[in-house]
Amino acid sequence: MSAILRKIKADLLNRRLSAFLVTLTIFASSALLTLTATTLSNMSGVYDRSFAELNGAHLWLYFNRDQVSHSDVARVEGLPDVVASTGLQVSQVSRAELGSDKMTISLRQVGAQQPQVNALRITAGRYLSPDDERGVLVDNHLAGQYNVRPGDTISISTASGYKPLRVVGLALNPTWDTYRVTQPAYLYALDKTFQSLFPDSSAWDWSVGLRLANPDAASETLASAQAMLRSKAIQDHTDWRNVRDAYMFSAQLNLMFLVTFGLFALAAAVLIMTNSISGAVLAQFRDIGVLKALGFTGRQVAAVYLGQNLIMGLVGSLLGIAAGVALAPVPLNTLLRSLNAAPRLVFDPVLLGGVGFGVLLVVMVSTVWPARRGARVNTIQAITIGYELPSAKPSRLAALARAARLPIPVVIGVKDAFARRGRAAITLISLLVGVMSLVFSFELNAALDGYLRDPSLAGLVYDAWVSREDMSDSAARRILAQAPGVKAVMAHASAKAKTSDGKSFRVRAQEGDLTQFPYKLEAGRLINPDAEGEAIIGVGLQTWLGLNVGDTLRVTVNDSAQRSPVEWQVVGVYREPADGGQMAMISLRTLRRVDHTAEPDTYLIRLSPNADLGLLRAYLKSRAGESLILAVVNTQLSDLLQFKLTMLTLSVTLSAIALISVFNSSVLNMRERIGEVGTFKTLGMTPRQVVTMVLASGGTLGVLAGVIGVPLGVVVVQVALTEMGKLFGFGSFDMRPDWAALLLPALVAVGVGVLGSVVPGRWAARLNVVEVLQYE
Amino acid sequence: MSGLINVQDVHKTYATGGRPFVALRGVSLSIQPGEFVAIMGPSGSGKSTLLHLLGGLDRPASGEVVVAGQPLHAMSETQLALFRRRHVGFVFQFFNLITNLTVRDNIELPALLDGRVRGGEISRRADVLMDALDIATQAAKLPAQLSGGQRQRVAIARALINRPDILLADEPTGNLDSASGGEVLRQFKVLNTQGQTIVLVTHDPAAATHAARVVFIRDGQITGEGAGLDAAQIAYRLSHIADG
Repeated sequence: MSAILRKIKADLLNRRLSAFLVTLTIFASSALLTLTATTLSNMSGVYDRSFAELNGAHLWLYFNRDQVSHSDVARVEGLPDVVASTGLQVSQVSRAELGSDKMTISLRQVGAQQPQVNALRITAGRYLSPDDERGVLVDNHLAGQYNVRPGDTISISTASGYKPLRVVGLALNPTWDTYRVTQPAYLYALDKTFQSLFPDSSAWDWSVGLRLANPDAASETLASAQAMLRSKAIQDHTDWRNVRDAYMFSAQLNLMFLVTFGLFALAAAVLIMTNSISGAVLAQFRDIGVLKALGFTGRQVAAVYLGQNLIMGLVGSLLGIAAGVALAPVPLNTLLRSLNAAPRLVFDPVLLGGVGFGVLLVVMVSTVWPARRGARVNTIQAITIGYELPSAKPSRLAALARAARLPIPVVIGVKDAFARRGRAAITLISLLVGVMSLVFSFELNAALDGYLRDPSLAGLVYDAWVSREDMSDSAARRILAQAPGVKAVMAHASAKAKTSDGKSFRVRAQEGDLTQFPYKLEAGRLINPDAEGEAIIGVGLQTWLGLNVGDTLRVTVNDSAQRSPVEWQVVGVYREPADGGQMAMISLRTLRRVDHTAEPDTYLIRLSPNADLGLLRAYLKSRAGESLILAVVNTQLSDLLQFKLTMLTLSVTLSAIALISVFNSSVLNMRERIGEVGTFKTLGMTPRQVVTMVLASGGTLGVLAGVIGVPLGVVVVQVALTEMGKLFGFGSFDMRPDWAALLLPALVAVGVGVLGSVVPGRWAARLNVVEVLQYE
Repeated sequence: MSGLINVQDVHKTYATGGRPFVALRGVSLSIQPGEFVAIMGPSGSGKSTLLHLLGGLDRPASGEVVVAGQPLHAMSETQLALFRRRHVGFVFQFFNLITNLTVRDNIELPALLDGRVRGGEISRRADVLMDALDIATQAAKLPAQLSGGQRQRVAIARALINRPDILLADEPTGNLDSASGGEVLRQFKVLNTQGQTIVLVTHDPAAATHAARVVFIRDGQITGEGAGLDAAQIAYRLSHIADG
């Protein structure tokens, strides 16, 4: 044992550069793994953590004021599964005015302290204080849509006209549901403010939020409440799980990209680590041969290298994990903030322990295999030849270089690049990983930018929508048909459908010229608006229900309207941005066959390229007053900057690790060839020519890595995104590689190959020939 | 002093483990064109150091080294490299062949590096050398596939491809069996009869007998010379040097 320990100590102390580089690789890989794992774990539970922190209500019930009393609400709160309640909440739907924009809102009464159940997350400004008689909190989504900031003024329509309120803060409600239940945006005011604006309590809307012992029992609790109350007492409800699904949508695309890249980064970091460590051990084959000649057994040889690499692994991984933990908040806190979550990363000690354990496992496997291989090789061969005999095959590349009349040092360098195939493979893999990570990042960024530029790629096919109130459908359509700047109008009604096995989803019922709205089809065709019984389904619905074009979709629609199920023929699959793609689209005509009362309440608008929104608003106000409310689509893709920053951080780290690995490989290669370098210098190779030779060798591998890595990276990212798209219900991805831009990763590959050889090349050029020859 | 090689009062010191080691102390030597000179001495006497200075592999701390009219002591690293390329051929104890180049490639390498001779002429020269050294059938093999004697002959061919002014050999038979070693020395003799100037460092009296002149060196100083000595005489003088 003492012999093993002595050898370990000697190797670590006398091969400082190599030990440093291997430790650095492990350190950087561990930091990257920590950063990636922390990112993925924090991103995946963003909503759940936020909901837990705010003590969110699992079920909201919205009452029909005429059908329910205080005691009814109390009985609901007393249901067995209910563990806490917000208490009776009052609100009033009204109109709000922000500059020239008008929108429907629900003003909710709150206390001077944050509620115990379903608290609000203040994302800007502050919560209301008892002095805020004219203060209001604005819902975060509304604020994002209309660019509202604390300090702005928002006016609320009351019986005696619009009353201005000052925005003191922006608030996120963990159970404000945007998709499954159409609700207006929430504003929050103190009771005295609320009651001063809406003194008539009989007009107030009632609701209550319930926290359940079993969060997944929201449906059952709703059923119990419905059974206990009068038949129409509960007008609507919000199930927290639906809100979570809707909440996660806006981050879905970005999360998907981050997950894709994160998984790639994990695999790449492990590969580079394996590569570096194996390469370092293989470079010591001569030493292994000498150890065997001295009497070390195979196990003892493995123990020597395992020991030294585990020491480096322990040091590198501990420092790397610490660095990852220290650095993670830099990109991730702003990322969390952009997701409206608390900017406070959660570090899971089990996860961090897993990273450490995983790194050490990789170190062990990477060491044991080459060490045992070395122990099995013939002793004399190991001493005289080392890891491998140089290849006897002529190098085509070198022949090409010679035919091109490149200088001899370049020809020798090119030939030398592949002289030792194993060493070349190790260096090439590191370079490939670096190139592919850059390609990944480039392509993901390009795809994200593409979706930003053309939201229709993500299924957002309209520029604005108009909601209708207190006006007939026909009147609304007449007005919209003549609206300035409006290119196309599609009437839209929402419905709910349920399959026989209880799977429910939303349905869009549309009427208008569908061809004007660029829905992206994954398969089949659009519905014929004049035909009945046709449906197209979102990719998410297709995956969920296992349907294909040509299949029949059998559902009941709007429970109260129809008892018998209807059948629709699936004629196409399309990209649907809402509900994870779990929606269907039919014609309004088809809906009216089962629900004669169905009428559009929203009109989707396509605007002309230079449409004047101010003119359009003025037109609508003059023709419809406040019966038609215009809302322009803000891209529903959330701020991508933070995601790009995170991906860029991971990508650059990966490339840096690749550079370290290439440098390490180059140093080891130089060590193995130190005698040859001495001989070259003896034969008259100048220092500059020595550097040229070494750079040519590294550059050759870099060129190869670029030529292979760029197209390979494009293929890998396309495959990865396609699979992720299926998983997230997004459908296929439109990716057109920008080959001109992808030249950059190829050039980086050459640069890294050359840069990784600069120092070893200069070192070799400065070698004292006499010392080298004596060393040999 | 006039000659192909002129060494005048050369000193050379190395730092080993932080302590200075004086390898050469005021050595002066002159070698004429076409001479075959052996340099002999015990281990650590400075003979290899002297050879390295003659070949421009190292520079003296003081003194002058002029070879083929060129002052090596005043040259830069690059100038020395060019000098070695064109004027010097080296043969080492451990061959120092490039392991991933074939025999032919190893031999042609110095000429390719020099670039003054066209490719066809380089190949022709290599063919002539390989024939002369009886290694033509090994042209496509790698060094690892050759015997020690064959490798050394490849090294000799490589050393001669550029028709150097001097051939410097540092213990060329030290790693060979007696038969192979004898063959190498016979080759040197043949080359010398053809006019090649050769400086041979050796500790083997039998090897030194192939040289026309033997220079004895001890503790960094030349202690004597002899011409036309036989092995016994050389051995006697060598032991006399060793004993001080």
